[in-house]
Amino acid sequence: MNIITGIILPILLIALWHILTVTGFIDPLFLPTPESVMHTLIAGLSSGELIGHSNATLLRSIGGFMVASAVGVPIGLLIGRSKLLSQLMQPTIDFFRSVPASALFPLFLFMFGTGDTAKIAVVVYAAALITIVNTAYGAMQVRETRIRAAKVMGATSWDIFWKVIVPESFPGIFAGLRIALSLSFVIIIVTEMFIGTNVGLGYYIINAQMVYRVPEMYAGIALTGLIGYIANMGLLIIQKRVLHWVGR
Amino acid sequence: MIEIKSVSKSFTKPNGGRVSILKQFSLNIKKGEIVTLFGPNGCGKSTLLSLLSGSVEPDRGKVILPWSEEAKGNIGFVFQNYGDVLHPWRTVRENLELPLEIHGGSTKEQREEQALQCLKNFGLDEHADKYVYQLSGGQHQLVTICQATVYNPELLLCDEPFSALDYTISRRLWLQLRNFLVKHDMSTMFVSHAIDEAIFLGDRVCVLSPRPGKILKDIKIPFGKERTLDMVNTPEFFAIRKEILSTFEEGRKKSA
Ligand SMILES: Nc1ncnc2c1ncn2[C@@H]1O[C@H](COP(=O)(O)OP(=O)(O)OP(=O)(O)O)[C@@H](O)[C@H]1O
Ligand SMILES: [Mg+2]
Repeated sequence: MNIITGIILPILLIALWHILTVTGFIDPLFLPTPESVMHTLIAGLSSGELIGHSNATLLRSIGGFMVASAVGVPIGLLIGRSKLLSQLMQPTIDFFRSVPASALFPLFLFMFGTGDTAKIAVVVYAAALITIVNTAYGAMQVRETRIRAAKVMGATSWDIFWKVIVPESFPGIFAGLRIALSLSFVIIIVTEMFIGTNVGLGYYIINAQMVYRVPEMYAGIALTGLIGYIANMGLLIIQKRVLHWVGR
Repeated sequence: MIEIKSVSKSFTKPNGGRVSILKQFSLNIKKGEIVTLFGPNGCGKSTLLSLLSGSVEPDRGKVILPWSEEAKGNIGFVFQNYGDVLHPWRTVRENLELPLEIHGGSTKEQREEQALQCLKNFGLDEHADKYVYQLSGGQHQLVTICQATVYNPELLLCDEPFSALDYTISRRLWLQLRNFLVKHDMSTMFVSHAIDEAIFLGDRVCVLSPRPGKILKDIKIPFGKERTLDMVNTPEFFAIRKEILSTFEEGRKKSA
């Protein structure tokens, strides 16, 4: 990906934003100038306030993401390699995949209370589902000939699992983890908006919104987008190194 | 001795019917003997190799191998669809280390050394650290042969392993492979559609009929263990060639 090409559109959007707000075409109560948002963002970061909120959000979402991967990858591999299991699980998974996690908040609140556990549980639920689906799909792509060849060499089921199935499923696993990570981040922010807390980017955004501190609200939104962008860049770099062989 | 004892195998067709691939098929391979199979498409050659490797069970009859079932690393298999065998996430050398890892009992250094030595034998050592997708089709096929032989199996099964190689290289490899097999006293079953290759490599050539595959003729190749490439220009070679081709054609006509 060329960084210069990728940066053209954001610059154009910010320029448009600038023109629309400076000319008074849009009421600053709905959308303040990019300068004031930037100013608020830098002030929030240097005072440490936004750092604290980001840390809380990152900690929760990464925690949820890690639990989801630890659960989702093994289950996905099993489902992908067992016809029986996949027939058993497929309808249920497809059902829950279509239900927005936010619609299940009341259930999670009931089961886990109003603390961080409930928030992380929502993330685990949503991220694990997407990890399972993608991992299973990856595991289904494993070439039968590779398994046969390994068996002829004398491989045990254990060898075949670790030396053939896991590496060959890696493209699917990785795709799942990438989606799961960004999903974890988005969902944790939504839970911070609706499930009681006084720290986190979601809380920061919704709080600013409610007291009409509009530049702060947009500073929170901008920071959210930036963190997501950086996380994805990092994953893409890892993917390029680890999955260099895919599709060649 | 390796024995295939009146083995029958049939597969289910998509419409539910059964199609017989091998019917009471028998064949023996003596220790160190190279048997080549020459037969039409779909007559069951690959199926026969799968039966020998144990990845397919016969419906009737049995395959007797002179080692215990748990013993590892006695069979090397060069698959017909060689493109789906090597691990694209491993380098060429690491692909050769794979069977050695599976067999266990060696250190990483020993495995590296053994893999490199094998690549040298096939003139592939300059590609050791490449990934499989960086190889040409022919080199790729050669690496699968290396992977199947790096651990010196007792029995080598080759399913058209030279199909992607140019004429010069495949002729060089006939010689190289034969020398290698003779040196290691490796019993070999080799499927080929190239008649000169089948004769040059084989101690015996089995000409097969169309499906269900039967041995039409089991021809001893009287050129001894040590062979040279100019043997393909001798009158004896031509005579065998002619015999094989006429048997092959007769079989086709009969089943048509
Ligand atoms: N798993 C399977 N299920 C159903 N039919 C099969 C299966 N494997 C092979 N066959 C059929 O068995 C027959 C023999 O197949 P086989 O691959 O052994 O042929 P072959 O002699 O190796 O042919 P070729 O020279 O084209 O490689 C073919 O008609 C094929 O369609
Ligand atoms: Mg075949």
